[in-house]
Amino acid sequence: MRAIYSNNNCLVFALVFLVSGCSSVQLISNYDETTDRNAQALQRKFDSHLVSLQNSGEEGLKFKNNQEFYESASVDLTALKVRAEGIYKNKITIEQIDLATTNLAYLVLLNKRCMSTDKPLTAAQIQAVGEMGPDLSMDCDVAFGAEADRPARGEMTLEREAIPSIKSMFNQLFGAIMAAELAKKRGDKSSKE
Amino acid sequence: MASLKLEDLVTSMLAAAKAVFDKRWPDIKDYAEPEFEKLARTLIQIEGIRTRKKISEGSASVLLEMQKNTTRAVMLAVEGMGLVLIEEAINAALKAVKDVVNTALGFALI
Repeated sequence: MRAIYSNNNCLVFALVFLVSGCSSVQLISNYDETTDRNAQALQRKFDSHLVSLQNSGEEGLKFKNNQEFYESASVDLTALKVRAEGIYKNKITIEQIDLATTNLAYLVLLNKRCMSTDKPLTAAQIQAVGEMGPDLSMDCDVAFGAEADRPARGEMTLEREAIPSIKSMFNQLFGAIMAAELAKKRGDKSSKE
Repeated sequence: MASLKLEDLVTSMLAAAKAVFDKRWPDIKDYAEPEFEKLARTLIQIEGIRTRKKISEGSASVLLEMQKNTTRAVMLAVEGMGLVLIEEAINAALKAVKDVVNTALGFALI
């Protein structure tokens, strides 16, 4: 019995050695105010743009009139990711930013009408969108997940009926990035609200 | 074609998440419940505009892919919250044995 007790003590000490090495364990990065603030800025940027599109005329829905927004949003997302990659144990936030970038790529494809009208996306298209990100050119390119290579898509319009869903999704996605960031404040529950 | 029901969707998502997060669920549910409801509402919205033929099948499939990515991002946030809770539990456990361990060893390990 004494031997078992002693063995258990050894196990506890071994476990402590394994998991500590210092005074505490860290499984996820610390809160980063810049990430939080930039994610919020992106949420506002997308929401504001999509609200204005909802109320715009046909001209406003054309890809050529939104290309600048997509370029700017893409740069913002890249900047957010570069910062996130520099932070220790930040895999979750990096993956979330990648998902936002993929959704931007889908929005661009929708605006340029690069997908089939009567068939769902293929697995190859989905893979291409995830790997290549947004195609900010005026053309449809199979390499970026388009159904076929098609030039000069500037006159193509975003389907107005789809805008409320797109807006909800971007709001929720950026909200999820902010929620994950706020959770990293640890222990201070009031700050998570 | 049977249409989607908000309550059914939310109930299914909540049941799946509760099973995964088990005892940590009460700490996560305040965030997860309203987020799952938002996800379900957007799904219903997409189904509605497709059923009314306001968007093409191709566009509907793009919106569904976007919705899947949004769901993944929400689940990642939930996972992050779970990791913070596990981390807090481990550190609380370490703190609880700190004095005993350090005294037994004769130096400050923890």
